[in-house]
Amino acid sequence: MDNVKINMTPLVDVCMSLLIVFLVSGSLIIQPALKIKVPEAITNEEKEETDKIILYISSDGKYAVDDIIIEFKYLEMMLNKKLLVIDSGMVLIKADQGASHGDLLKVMSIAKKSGATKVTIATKQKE
Amino acid sequence: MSIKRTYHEMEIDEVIDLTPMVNIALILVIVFLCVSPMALITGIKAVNSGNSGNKSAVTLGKSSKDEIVKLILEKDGTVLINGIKVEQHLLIPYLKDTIMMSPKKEVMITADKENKVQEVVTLLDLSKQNGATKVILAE
Repeated sequence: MDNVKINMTPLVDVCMSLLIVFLVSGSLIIQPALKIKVPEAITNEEKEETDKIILYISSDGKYAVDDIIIEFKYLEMMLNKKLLVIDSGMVLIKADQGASHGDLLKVMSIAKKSGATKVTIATKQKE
Repeated sequence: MSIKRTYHEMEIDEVIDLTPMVNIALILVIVFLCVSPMALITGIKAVNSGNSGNKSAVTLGKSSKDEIVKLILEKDGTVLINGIKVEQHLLIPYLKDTIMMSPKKEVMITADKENKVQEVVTLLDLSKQNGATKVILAE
């Protein structure tokens, strides 16, 4: 009875691999810079582009590109730079439900000027 | 010569092989890592009318402009379809009829800059639900 052993080596291997995977992927997760509650809609178009720039507009008029909060005057420069390295040319705008339409238009206009070929407004599926 | 195995010998051989479980776990990890970037994004494709800040930025000919349905959302939430004020409860049937009668089935939404994004998206959504093939956000 004393010689019964469970081989723990593979289990340890899996645990270590998982730990490494989570450590690596954890650093790749983009935390949203601004808290946004996107508008709700019934219709939606599904896009599969993974190569995209996410632009955030908060209800109090703050802007962020991916995970960086940015002043409006630097938005065009930042988008120009980022769009150069993206093949899809897609800009996804995550505007808060309470953000002003004027801010949305300004951002859409800048995205277009900067060379975005597709501009999409992110929505949440209405239940 | 007897080859009778004793109870003690049987006990020694009882080792649980964890290798298949490990293989499956690792394959699942790899599959999830590969599949997660393919997650779909939902959203509404928006087309804005131009780069300049005025409303005349729409670069469409006069005849084309007449063929599109013009939706105006005022600051107080009032909606005008082709210049006609429409009550909230009549909005959906009137919008549907107007889009159906329009040859291009395109809608151009003009909203006040102070309107909220949700109000504009709701109009955009209603247009799409009622048959609009293209929705343009006018500046």
